[in-house]
Amino acid sequence: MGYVAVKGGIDAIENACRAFEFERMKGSSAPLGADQIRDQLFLLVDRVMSEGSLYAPDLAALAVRQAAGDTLEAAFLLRAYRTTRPRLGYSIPQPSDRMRVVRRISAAFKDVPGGQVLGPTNDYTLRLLNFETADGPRIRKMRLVDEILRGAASAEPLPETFPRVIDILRRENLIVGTRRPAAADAPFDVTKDSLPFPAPRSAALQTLARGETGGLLLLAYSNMRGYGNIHPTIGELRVGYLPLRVRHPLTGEACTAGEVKVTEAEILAKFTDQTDGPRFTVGYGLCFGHNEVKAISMAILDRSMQTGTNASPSEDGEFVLSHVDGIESMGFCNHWKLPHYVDFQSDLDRLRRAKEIYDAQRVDQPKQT
Amino acid sequence: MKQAPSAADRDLPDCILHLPEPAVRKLLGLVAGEAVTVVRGPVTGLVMMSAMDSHETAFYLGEVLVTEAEVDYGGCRGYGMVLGDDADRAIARAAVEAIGASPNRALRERVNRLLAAESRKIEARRRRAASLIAATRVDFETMKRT
Amino acid sequence: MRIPSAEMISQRAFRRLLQAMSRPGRVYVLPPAADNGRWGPLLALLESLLDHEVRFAVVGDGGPESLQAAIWGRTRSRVAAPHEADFLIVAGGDSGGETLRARRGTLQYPDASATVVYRVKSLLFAEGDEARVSLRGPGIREEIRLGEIRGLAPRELGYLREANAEFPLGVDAVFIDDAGRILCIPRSTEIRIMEN
Repeated sequence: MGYVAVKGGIDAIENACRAFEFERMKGSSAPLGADQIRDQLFLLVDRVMSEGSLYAPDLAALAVRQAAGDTLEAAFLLRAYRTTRPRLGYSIPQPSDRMRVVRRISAAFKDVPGGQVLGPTNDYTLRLLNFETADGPRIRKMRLVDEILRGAASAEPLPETFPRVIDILRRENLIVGTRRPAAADAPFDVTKDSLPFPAPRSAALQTLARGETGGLLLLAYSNMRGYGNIHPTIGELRVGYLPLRVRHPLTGEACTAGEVKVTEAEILAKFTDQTDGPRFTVGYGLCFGHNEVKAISMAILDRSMQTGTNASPSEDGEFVLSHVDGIESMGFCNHWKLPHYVDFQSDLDRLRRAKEIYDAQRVDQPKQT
Repeated sequence: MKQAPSAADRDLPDCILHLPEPAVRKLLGLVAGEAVTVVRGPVTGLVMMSAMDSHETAFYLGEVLVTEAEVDYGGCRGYGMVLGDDADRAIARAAVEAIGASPNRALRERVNRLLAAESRKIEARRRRAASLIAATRVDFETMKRT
Repeated sequence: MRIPSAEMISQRAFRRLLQAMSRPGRVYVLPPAADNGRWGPLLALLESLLDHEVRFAVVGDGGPESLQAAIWGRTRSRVAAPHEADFLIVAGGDSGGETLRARRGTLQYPDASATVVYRVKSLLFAEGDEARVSLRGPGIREEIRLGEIRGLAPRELGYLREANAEFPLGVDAVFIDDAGRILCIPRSTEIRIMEN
């Protein structure tokens, strides 16, 4: 691919940036605060954090505002910001039974230990547009919040922890165990080393966790529709807060730095294990923020990549993992806008020459009647 | 000389993670006159969050923005790491730990009183939000044939 | 966004080090560090290089114990044996041969090697100094001749020559004095010790 460096256009470029800012600010509406985006467009902020692979709600809100709502651009801003900060360390992995759960459902079983908790979801709303142009003044917002909280006064408190649903199946020996890497192996880090194929499981899970929601959904959907063989049941879907625990540098003990909102999905698909008889395999998905479609899609893809055959795109690990990163894909798509003048000039020359030859041949052909 | 904090006091410093900003400033104001020096940081950086899947395979979920700081109070060291770009909170967290290990009982008690009061407010807010979530627990009735 | 001054100093120190590495044999001065304690400029330099992802070892005279603690305190970097370290800190200008045993990398990953940081007495050279070493190679126009590096054990340059005999394998050397002057000899530089 021949890129030629071009000069010129500095003024045009500066004006283009200004024109974009103008687009963002020209309306008569009140200027948008990043805190408003962070608080009230929280699912958008969650999505951008998970695709940018940086958990920083305030920054994600800033990025959303700066990018005028373009999620790929906002995620890109976060990834770029992340390169300016040093990595201070690694957290101590927390099993998800340490999650402070706000939502927990299972489609596989009606009765699950701890119960089915719907949590904050709009799954059950009628999709009718609410035509109130504004939420109203701040005081009304606070009163509404108080009203909602008062209405829930007397519910029986939830348990501290919810045991995993798949443990029920595990106890009956109905789950295939995935090959666990040797305990000494540190997880693969795709931010440091390029992805090898076949990818180790930790690399696959990390890549999916950073993946763009639409891309993951597309591939998972293709599998659900038959380009693949997973008939998944959601064993468990959880939304909650996992503690971020690190080692105290002086005492070496674990200490908590805060909690991180995550969504976790486990799907169950039937799989006949030749040696041990029929069992379920588990597909697993975990991502930053409240993003159920992403977690479920991740879990389906995790399972489909374990199939071992490359019969369909979603089962091909290399295909899936190479194409789900939003910054990589949007970046490459956008690069086509760079000058490709020399390339195209040579294409044009070749085409003209070929057309000359073609036209000359047609002139020489005897006329058909 | 170091003192071991009591069991109840041990959990108090964690509430700094959830304090509203004015309370963090109030806490820093409490220790403003004391000989607390910042010896490292505050540094805003990233912690790579490790997670485990259902088969206990560890993997990296993504990076979290944090701020960390280390302080010294009369020879007692304190460390604090908090989420986000929040130098004040990290220093407050570290200061509370250093003060907690120091022999200055009067200061320890003043700090703990402030934290206990804030902790109660945080708990109350938490409980109300938690009961809202608890109210979303489903009481199933299976459709029975009659 | 607020950029703390410690970070700016660290960034400038790193930039200066990059310049020194690209122009071997030339003396550069680090930007003044905030604290000029016992190990002042050395710590400021190391702060821009070390973190918890790399390993370091301190060898030689000059109270390595307290230097090791100071480095750990500032950088939280990990201590390792000298032959395993990514950064070998020669506190008193004499590695005792550890430079020869430092990591030189592999043909596939030549960067899996050590950077040796020598703390010397002085990188001040006077016009009349007798030339002790000749340097040639990338970043040097023709040749640079250096006088005696005060505080550097005489065998060290020979060790570097030997460690770097099979380019791209080898080690990269940084010399620093207490006034914050630095001079670099990367592995791509041909070292010739001038007999007198």
